[in-house]
Amino acid sequence: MASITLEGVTKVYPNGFEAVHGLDLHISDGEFMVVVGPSGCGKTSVLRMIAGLEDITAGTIRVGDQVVNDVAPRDRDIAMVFQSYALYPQMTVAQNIGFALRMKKMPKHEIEQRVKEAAAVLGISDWLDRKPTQLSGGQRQRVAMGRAIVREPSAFLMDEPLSNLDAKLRVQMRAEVARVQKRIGVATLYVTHDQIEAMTLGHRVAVLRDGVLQQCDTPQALYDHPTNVFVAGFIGSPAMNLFEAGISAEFGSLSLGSQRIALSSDAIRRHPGLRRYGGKEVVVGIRPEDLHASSGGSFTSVITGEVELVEALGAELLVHFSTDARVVQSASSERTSGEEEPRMPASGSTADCVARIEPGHPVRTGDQFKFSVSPDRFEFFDPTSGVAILD
Amino acid sequence: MALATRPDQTKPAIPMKGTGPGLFGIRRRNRSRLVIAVLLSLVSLGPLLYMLSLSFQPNGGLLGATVLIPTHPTVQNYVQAWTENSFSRYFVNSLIVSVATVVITVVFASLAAFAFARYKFPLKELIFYVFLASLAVPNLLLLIPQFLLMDRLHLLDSLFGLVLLYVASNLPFTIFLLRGFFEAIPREYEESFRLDGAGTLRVLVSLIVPLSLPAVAVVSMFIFSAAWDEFPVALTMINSGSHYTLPVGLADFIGVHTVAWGPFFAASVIATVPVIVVFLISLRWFRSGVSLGAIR
Repeated sequence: MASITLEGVTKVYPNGFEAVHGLDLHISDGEFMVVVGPSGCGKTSVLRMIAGLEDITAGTIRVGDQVVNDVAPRDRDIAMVFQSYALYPQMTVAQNIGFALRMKKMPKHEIEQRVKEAAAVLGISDWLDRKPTQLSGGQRQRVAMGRAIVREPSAFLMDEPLSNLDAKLRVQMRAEVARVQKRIGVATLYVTHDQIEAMTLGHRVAVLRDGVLQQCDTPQALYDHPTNVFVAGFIGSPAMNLFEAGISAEFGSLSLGSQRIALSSDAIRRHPGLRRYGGKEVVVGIRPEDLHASSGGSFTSVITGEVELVEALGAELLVHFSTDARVVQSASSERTSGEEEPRMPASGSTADCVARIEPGHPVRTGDQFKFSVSPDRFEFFDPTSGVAILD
Repeated sequence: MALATRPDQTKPAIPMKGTGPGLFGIRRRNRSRLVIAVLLSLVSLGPLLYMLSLSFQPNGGLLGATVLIPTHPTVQNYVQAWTENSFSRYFVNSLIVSVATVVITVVFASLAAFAFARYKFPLKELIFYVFLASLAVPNLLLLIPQFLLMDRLHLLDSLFGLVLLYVASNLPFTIFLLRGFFEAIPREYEESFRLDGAGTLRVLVSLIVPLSLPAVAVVSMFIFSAAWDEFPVALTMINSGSHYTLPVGLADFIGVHTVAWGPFFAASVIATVPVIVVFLISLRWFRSGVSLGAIR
């Protein structure tokens, strides 16, 4: 068991494309780290560099205390689950799982015993004599995990292992992955484009964009305090609503298009940096779950919008609405969403905002609907740099 | 029985034009296809059947034979073919040469094809196309240079020399075919193998070749068949009767004044059997075709 450390790791492909830029990341022993980001953000390159399947252009990778930059993949003691599972079709399930142990020249009876143990952990004992082609997607996924855990490696890498499963099985296997990782307790790096997987699995989540690390923190911290507009738009489903807004000179109110919202002293206290923005523009972020249908209580302000679409999900309503405030499109808006992401028609307004409200409210398309908000739940970002305004 | 009375679910209620059941239950549309298939088969199999028939005819009535099934069949021709003219010796020589050619060609071609498929090295494509270009040179043109080369290497009249020449002539096509197949194998298998602790040779032997068995079976069959049937090179390089291969040995049946047709055809039948056996063995691999379905 060991930690994984990346220091200033850069990857430039022969065609000049810089996939990863100066990445610093530390995965402690036993930690479950999820790297998340949109397609092409460099997350798989990170994984492959740690595995030794790609050379690194600059920087250092350590497994434990050992620098592994020039160590062959087989000597890194790292197991990996591929997106395609890569189960060897000519071998049975038992042979697949035991292959790495055979390569280590382990005695036959010991291989058999460890294969049986791994199979029991994953509930695949009945399929040991089958060929991979005779298994379903979920079963193959388990075998791929079995092949990785049987080695008792120093570190565990997973490259979007659930992306080939249907939505229901994905949820089931998500729990399975978490359970197995907890049981084997080794440093794990899990790559996904699905922020729901990232939020539910990771002890910490690293958000990557264009090869640059945006933020690395616990899922709750990412959700509560996104470091910039990209993370704000990427983490959370549906995504955070981002508007261009103006702060009044005396910090008393916020203008969202033609609407004025009173800023509470709490909001200023939480974001003291806002004092530098008196009379200036900012980007304000409001989570869909912070827009409410009911008024009163702690909700001190109201945002009115025209309802464009209502999606009834049973436990909640997703209300798509528009206001005359300008919406900021986060670069993460092209991300591939998780299964809970609502789908908008392609012709949807660019000014589309989403509220997640309790069911039972009589909301109809075309209505002018008043959403109650509490400004101390807002997030604020610099309109030029996109960086969160905190201190 | 219930099964016997169950209506045919696949049968349309109203037979469509040209698709209705006809003679022997064969649909009309398929009947013409069947006739063409039978005719083509006869063209291919006819000479073989005729050879088989003649091999069982008593030597005297051979040339006048007009019936396919001999009236007085005899195995005397086979006994004579196997015991005279050192035929069994030729058979063994051919077997050694063909099997050695297959094994050596497949081993070297696999190594080369793997390098072409998976590695980057200077002039890779140029070297590959030079290999391919050699396919365009007719083998007979190379006969004299090869003869001189073998002479210099003191490998004339040697089965090993013959194997070397056969390997050389079969390598380009085999490399070409295997490279294409190796490239189609997803890289994830190889990467997973390496992470599991396998080295390059292990990747080739335990992963790439087993996954390419259909291709290996095809090329093995082609190489075996080509080496087994090869005549001009063997005739040129081999002088002593003890080193004759089958095609050269068969020519021995044709004397200056007489031809022993019965034993000649019997020997031809015996000579055909190994090729058919090899074909049947490789057929198993064509059909089973190790699936790559474990990748999504």
